[in-house]
Amino acid sequence: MRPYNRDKTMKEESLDPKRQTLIAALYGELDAEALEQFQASLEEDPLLRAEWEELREARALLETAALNEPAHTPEFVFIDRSQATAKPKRRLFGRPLFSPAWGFASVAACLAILMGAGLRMDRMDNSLVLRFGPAPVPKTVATPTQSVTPSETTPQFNPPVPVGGGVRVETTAEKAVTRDDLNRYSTRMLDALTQMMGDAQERQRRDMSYLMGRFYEEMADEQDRKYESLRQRVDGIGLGLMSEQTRTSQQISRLTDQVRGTASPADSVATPRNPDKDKKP
Amino acid sequence: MDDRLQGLQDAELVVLARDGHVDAFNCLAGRWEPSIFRFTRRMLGDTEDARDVSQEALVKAYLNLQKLREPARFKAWAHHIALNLCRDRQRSRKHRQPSETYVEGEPGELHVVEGGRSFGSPESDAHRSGLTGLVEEVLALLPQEQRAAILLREYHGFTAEEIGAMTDVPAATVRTRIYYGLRAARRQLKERGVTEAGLR
Repeated sequence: MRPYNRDKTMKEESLDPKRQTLIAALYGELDAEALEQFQASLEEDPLLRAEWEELREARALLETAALNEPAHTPEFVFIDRSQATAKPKRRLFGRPLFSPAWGFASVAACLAILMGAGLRMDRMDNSLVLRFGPAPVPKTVATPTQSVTPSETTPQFNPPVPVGGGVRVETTAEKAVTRDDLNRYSTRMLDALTQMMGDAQERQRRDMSYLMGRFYEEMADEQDRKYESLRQRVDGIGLGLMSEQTRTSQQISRLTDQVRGTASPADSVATPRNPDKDKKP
Repeated sequence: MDDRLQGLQDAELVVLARDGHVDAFNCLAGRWEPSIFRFTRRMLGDTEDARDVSQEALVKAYLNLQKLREPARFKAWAHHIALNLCRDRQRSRKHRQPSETYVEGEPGELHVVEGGRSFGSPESDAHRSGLTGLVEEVLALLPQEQRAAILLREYHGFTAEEIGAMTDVPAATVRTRIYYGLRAARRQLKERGVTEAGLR
C-alpha cells in the first residue's frame, strides 16, 4: 500500500483556450460557428482529438452510473403552526355546527314539538304558565253558585272545575291543533323568551351598574378617610415641630442670655427645673 | 398543498414564500430537495449526512429567503447553501481525523479515508455494487472543488458561469476543474477495468 499524493495527478493548471473550448463543446455551450471551428481544430490536432474522446467517455460513464441511482422521495415539509393548530370548525348546511343560531333554532324546534304534543302557555295573574292539557281556572271570588268540595281545602295540582256550569275549559282532546295555533304559540313563546332574556340582561346591567356605583362610592369614602387621617397626622407632626421649634428658640435665647450674664430665672421656662436642686439646705 | 402552486415559477413561489406563504416554500422544497439531496450525497458519500445537510440547507434557505436578491435563481442559491454546508461538514470530519489519505492495495481493497469517513468501506453508502458504486468511489477521490464542479455541471445542469458564481471563481476556472476532474475520473475508472466499450 502506498499513500496517494493527489497533487501529482490532479493539480489544476490554467487551461489554454483550446481546452477551454473543449470543455465548452463537451457540454454544448458553443454556438454553431464556434462549434464548427472546434470540429475543424479536432481534425487538425490528434492530441486534442484524443482528449476529446477521453472526456466524452468519462461523461458517458458518469451518465450511465446515474441511471441506476435510486430515486429520492422528497420528505421536507414546513408546517405552518398557525394553520396546523387552528382546527376547522365543523359545519352543517354552511353554518358552524355549534353556534348561537343553531342553539336558538334547536330550542324553537323543541318548543314547537312540545306545543304539538299539547303544551300550552297562558298568562295568569301577571305571569306565564306552561301546562299540558286543560287550562287552569283563574282565581276568582267564589260565588254562592259554585259548589265547594272537600278537595278545595287540600292542595292539589288540578284546579277545581265547577260542576254543572261555570267556566268551560277546552282541552287538546276536544280541539285539534292547527298549524296556525303552532305558529302563534311559537311566536308567543319566542316573544316571551326574548322578553325574558332582555329583562335578565337589563337586570344584570342594572345590578352591575349598581355594584360599580357602590364600589366607586366605597373607594371614594375610603380614599377620603385615608386622606383625612393622613392630613391629621401631618397636622400633628406640624404642630409638634412648631412646638419643638418654639422650645428650641426659647432654649437658645436662655442660653444666650446666660452666656451674656443677663439671664433671669423667669426666662427659663422651657427647661424643666429640678426643684430639689434649688432647695437650700 | 395547493395544486395551483405547482404551476408557478420559482421566482413567483419565492415572492409568495417571502409573504409568509409556507406552502409556497414547501412547493419549492419539494421541487428541489431531490436534487439537493443527490448532490449532498455525492459530495459526502453518506445518505444520513446528506439527508441532514439537505434539510439544513432548506431550513437555511427559508430563514434567509429575504436575502435572495434574484428570486429566479433559487435553485442555484439553494445548491450553493448545500455546497457550503458540505464543506463545513467535511471540514469538521477533517478535524476529527486530520489526515486525508488514499490507500490503494489489491483490487477490491480500495478505500478512501476522508476525514474519518471511509468511502467504499462496508459502513459507507458508497459501497455499492456495479458502476454506480465505482463511479462514486472515483469521484470521492477527486479534490472537493473538482468534485463539486463536475457534480453541479454533470448532474444538476448548472452552467460554468453559475458554478463560478456559487464558488466565487471565474467560469474558466470551473472549466479547468472539470477538465482535470474528468480526466482523473476516467483514468481511475480505466484502472478498474471500467470503459465505455466494456459496458456495451
